Amino acid sequence: MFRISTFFSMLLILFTTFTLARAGNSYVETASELVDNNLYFTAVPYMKEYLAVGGVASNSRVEDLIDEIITNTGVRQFEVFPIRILERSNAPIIRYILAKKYFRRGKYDRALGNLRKKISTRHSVKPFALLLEASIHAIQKRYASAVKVYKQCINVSNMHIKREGDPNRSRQLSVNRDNCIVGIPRAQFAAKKHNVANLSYLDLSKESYIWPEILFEEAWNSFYMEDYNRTLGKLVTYKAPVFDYIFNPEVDVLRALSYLHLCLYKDVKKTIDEYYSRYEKETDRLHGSLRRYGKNYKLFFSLADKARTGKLGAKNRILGRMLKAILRDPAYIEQRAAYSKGLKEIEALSNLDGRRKKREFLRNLKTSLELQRDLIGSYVRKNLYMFISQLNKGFEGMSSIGLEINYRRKERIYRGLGDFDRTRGDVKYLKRNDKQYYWSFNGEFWADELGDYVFALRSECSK
Amino acid sequence: MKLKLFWIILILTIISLTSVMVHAVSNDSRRQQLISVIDDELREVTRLNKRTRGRKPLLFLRMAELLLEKARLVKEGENNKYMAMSADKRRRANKKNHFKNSRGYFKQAQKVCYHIFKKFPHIKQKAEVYYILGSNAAEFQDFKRAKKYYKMAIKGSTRNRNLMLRTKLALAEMHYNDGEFRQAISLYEDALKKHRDKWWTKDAYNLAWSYFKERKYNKAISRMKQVYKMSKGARFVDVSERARRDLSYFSAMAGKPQTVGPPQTGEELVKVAKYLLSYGKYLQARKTFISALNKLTSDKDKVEVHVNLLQLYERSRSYQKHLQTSQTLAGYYRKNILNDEQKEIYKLQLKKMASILQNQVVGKTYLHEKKKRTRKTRQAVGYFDVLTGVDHKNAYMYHFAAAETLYAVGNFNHAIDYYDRAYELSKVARNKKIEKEAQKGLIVCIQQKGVSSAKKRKYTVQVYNDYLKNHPRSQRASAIYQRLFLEYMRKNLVDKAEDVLVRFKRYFPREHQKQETMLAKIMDYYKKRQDKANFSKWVKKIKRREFIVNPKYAKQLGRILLAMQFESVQGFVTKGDKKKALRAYVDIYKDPETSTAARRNATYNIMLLFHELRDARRTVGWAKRALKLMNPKEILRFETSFLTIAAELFSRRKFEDSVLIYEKTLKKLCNTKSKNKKTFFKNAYVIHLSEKKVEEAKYLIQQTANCHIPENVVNEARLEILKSLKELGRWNSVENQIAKLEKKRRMWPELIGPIYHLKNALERNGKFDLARGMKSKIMRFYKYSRKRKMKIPLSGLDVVAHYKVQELGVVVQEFNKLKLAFPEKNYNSLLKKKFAKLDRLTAKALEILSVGSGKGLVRVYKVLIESYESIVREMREFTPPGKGPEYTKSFRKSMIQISLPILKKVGEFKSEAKRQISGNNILSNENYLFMSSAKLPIKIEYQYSPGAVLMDRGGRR
Repeated sequence: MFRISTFFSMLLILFTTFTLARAGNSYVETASELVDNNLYFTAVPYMKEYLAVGGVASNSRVEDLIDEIITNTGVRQFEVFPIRILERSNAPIIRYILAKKYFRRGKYDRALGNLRKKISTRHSVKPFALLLEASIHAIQKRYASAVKVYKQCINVSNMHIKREGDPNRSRQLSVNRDNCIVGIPRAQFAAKKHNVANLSYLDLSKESYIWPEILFEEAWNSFYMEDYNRTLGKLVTYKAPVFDYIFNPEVDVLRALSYLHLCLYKDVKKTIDEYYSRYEKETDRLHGSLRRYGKNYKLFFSLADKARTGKLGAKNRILGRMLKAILRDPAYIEQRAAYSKGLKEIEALSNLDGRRKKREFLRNLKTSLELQRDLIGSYVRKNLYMFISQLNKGFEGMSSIGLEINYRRKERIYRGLGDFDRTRGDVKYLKRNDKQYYWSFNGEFWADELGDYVFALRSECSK
Repeated sequence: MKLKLFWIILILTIISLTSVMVHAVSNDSRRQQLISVIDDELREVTRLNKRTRGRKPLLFLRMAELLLEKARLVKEGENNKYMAMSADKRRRANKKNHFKNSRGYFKQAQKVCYHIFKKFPHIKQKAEVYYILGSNAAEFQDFKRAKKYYKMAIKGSTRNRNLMLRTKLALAEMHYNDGEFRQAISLYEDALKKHRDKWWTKDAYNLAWSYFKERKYNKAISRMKQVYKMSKGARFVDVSERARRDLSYFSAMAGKPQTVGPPQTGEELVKVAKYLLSYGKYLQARKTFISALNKLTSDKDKVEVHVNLLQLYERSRSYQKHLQTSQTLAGYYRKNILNDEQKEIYKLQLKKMASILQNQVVGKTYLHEKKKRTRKTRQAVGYFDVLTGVDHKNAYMYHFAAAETLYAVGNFNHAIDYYDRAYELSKVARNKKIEKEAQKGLIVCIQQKGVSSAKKRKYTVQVYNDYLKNHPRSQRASAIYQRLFLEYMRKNLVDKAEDVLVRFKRYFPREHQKQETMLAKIMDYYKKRQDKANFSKWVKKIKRREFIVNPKYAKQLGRILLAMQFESVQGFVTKGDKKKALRAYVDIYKDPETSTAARRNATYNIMLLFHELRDARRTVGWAKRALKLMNPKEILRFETSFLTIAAELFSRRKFEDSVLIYEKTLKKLCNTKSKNKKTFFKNAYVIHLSEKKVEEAKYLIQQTANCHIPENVVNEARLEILKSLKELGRWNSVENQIAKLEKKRRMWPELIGPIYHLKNALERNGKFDLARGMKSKIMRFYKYSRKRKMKIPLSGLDVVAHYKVQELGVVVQEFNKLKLAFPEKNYNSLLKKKFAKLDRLTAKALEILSVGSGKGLVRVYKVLIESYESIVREMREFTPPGKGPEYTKSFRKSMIQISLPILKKVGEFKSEAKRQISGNNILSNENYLFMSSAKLPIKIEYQYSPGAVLMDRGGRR
């Protein structure tokens, strides 16, 4: 009896495999045909179906196909796939997606395991895989290894940029390279090699898309080097109108902290009060609104789109700034651009012959585009909440600094030294120092000076 | 003038009031500043708390802390205001109302704390909250609750060291105020280790007092000193005045005169000490006196302190310190610094203490406490020493007393010196009694153990001679003579010792025993030094009966004298001068006065010397003498010498001499347990047999029948005799010998061979009737031996195999008789029969192989091979009669095929025979059949090994 059952089951397996393989092949063929006609979003469900059925071999036609689709739709479309399905494939591109998933879940060793399976330098995913690998090393405090991989990432990214003809792809690679460039000082910073990190930050070109954000990191590095004037100089750059899209509440906290270290208590107090008056009420209001949105990604998508098209209105100033920051984010730009391209596929499909086929394609495209929209909405939501969290952290930070000042004041009084002199840390005093660049910044910035400002404030601590 | 003074006072008052007011105002402003900062902090905390939606317990805690801090500051202000009121106004004021503000803040703080516990029951900073609650309780005068909260705060506070410190200090202060000093001490101690703020002196001051209250004076003083010292520094609150005041108090109570501040003079300390003395604080007084002593400069003052100390030490029975002080005072006494009263006290103290200690030493109290007793002796002697310096006139008395004290504890070594001094000084002082006693003490001490040899050397002879000079016949003199004698002997002054012996004999002629002992010492001395002359001088004296000694001892002395003779001969031997040694031994041998034992020794030694000189003839002669003189025990001791000598003689072919020594020694050893008896016996009979002296060998066996020689050895000898008889062809004797031996069944295996030879001899001589039955006897002996697994000699096995092979011959003959013949049917039947015969033959042959005879084995293989080869030959060479060539050809072919395995078997037999011959070293006449490697048509029967010689048992060819 057993023998017969086994026989039939084997027969069944053979039959199923054969059928599925045949189905898989048909998915690939359809997807391939769609890609050839630039219908990337339409092709996505077929590729997903294919992945659900079987694995992807390395350097196969299917892998190339997925790579092309990802380049045009973004990697997130495939990131939503369950791990168990992705695990089946051996192709570098899938392994990279898998590694990214593990990375997000904090399973760094598994992520590293997927990345370490040989990916050729010439493979299109290699630069991104290297960035991911280096980031894992840095997180796991293997700074030397991190720096080594970051350097490799820079070289490989440059190599790919030279070969790349697609401007979209080229931009992605440039951003990737720049992230690797700043990855090095970041690792050095984490390893407390602040002097080295200071020099390494200079390797990032000011023309880089990510440079404005990095300025803040440089400011922290200077802070750790106890070069508070340089920290303040770096931070003041954010007051330049060209950087009005940058939303980073921590900039104010770092500024207050720098003043505190220079014992310029008046300035600290001023910074704290300004922070509270600027953000307190609006944060509460914004938080209330966002809570009402819940997890309706479509609303978040629309919110960002309104901001993009200038239809948001000026009711909530902070929200506007936050959305402005999100809109300048390369990840958002990439996803949004892909979505726009996807919309154009509707038009292309409508010209297609054959009703049944057309209906099927349109349904598939709709699924892909809705997912893309939700992915964008989710991204916007996540960023907005992150900003709010930063603001709240900022409130705490500021209050802590305020309490610290009070503590110091009290100490002085208890020691019989009296309260702090009112003139200390006064702006008037600063103005007397002609070495400083402490002027009104409106319209006074020169592009080549951005990020190079250094304050000349004297520490009041010894007095 | 008065008016002027009034104005000055008024101005000063105003100035002082102004300064107080300024101070109050400045404090007020400071407080206001602090309150303003606290308000700022509170605002900040509230703002943050609002932002975090009251989710952070730490913010509440901070709030509570700030409220408590503010409450304290506000209360401080209220307090100041309250105190600034006039007494009347204060009395009328509503206190509750006055402190309303601060109470409000305290309550707020408390409320916040309760809120924390309610909302965050698992908050980690519980200790901090408890501290605030404790502080609040303290503010509300609820100390019991405050203590409870503080304790809880301490229990929970592990990370916040500052809080722990504050809590401990607060709790310690509460305990201190409540008079719970023990609890306060542990808390203060702990807290003071960790903090050094300006209030440290105040807390340490409390701790010092806590120690004092708990009667820990040393700690209290040490801590208070620290407080005094630290108070001088600007960092701390100055409590130095209080500390100095309290320190004096502590010190006085603790009996420690030191204090802080300007040091006190010696004179001041003396006053303090006297003061303490008057109040009966002897211990404190003593300590103060000692402290004063270090500061005093005047000798008179020092003497006064010492005299006081002497009395205090006496009171406390501090003997050692009393003695040290006494010794110190001795110096001042010599300088005549002491006044009469002090002198009187000093002498009295010395005598009193010396007497107490002497009594303690002599008494039973410390009899079993050796260490204490020794110490007390040392102290007593110390006092006597001091007294000799203070009271010169009676010095001999103190020396004598010291000597007696030392004698009492058995310290004779030191006692001698004191006795000697007492003896000498008493002679000067003409005190006969002490002189006599001291001399007596000296004599007794010298004899004791533990007296150093140097002292013995110094005193013994002198003291004994002094005594014997005055009392040559006294009862004590007898012992003294002996001791003096021993002393001289120890110093190797034998002449003087002999003189003492002579004197002793003169004054004590009947004490023969003692004389003999002394004499023995002298004799030993001369014997050791080999001084034969002096030794014989004293032996002669004894013989002349000048000294009466035990006859045994006299005899022993004679022997010693003889031994001394031998010792000289031994010297020659050692030096290798054998000639002189021989001469000396011969002299001893010949000396008629020589004892038998000495003669025996001499004879033996002479034998050995001649043996060493390889003089066989004389060796044998002296050996005979030695064997005659020596008893079996002695021979047993030296049997190896005789064995060696006999072996040496044998090797020099002196068979007769050799066998003579073997036999004679064996006879002497007959009843001893000698292990060499076997060797002597074996060697003797072997030599006899080699000399063909069979009868002597037989006689030897007879003579040694009772010598307990193992039977197997004797049987072996008998067999050897049988063998010799056979060799000599004395067949009658052989027959007799066999008849004797076959009675013992265990001899049967050995007899198989001899019986066979006897049988052959008888047959050769035609005595077939006598030979008859011998074969069956042989087979019977064989079967019997085989059954009992007895070891049969190879020759015996060869005999048995020989007979068995003879029987095999019959089977072979039957086999050979059967010839193959045609017709075919017959042929086959014959061949079958032939094979059956061959099988029987083979079985029989294998049976013979089991006998184990080498020769038999070879013969059996020979028979087997021959038989197998014969059948092969017969089969192959057979030609079927009347048959055509084709039939013949096929017949032969098949015969060849059939015979092949048989031929193969032949080969196997050959190689097996060869293997057995080589493997078991078989020497057989048929060996040539298998061992010859030459490829010759014929086999060579005899082979000669070059260099081989055949000899008989005597080594003759």
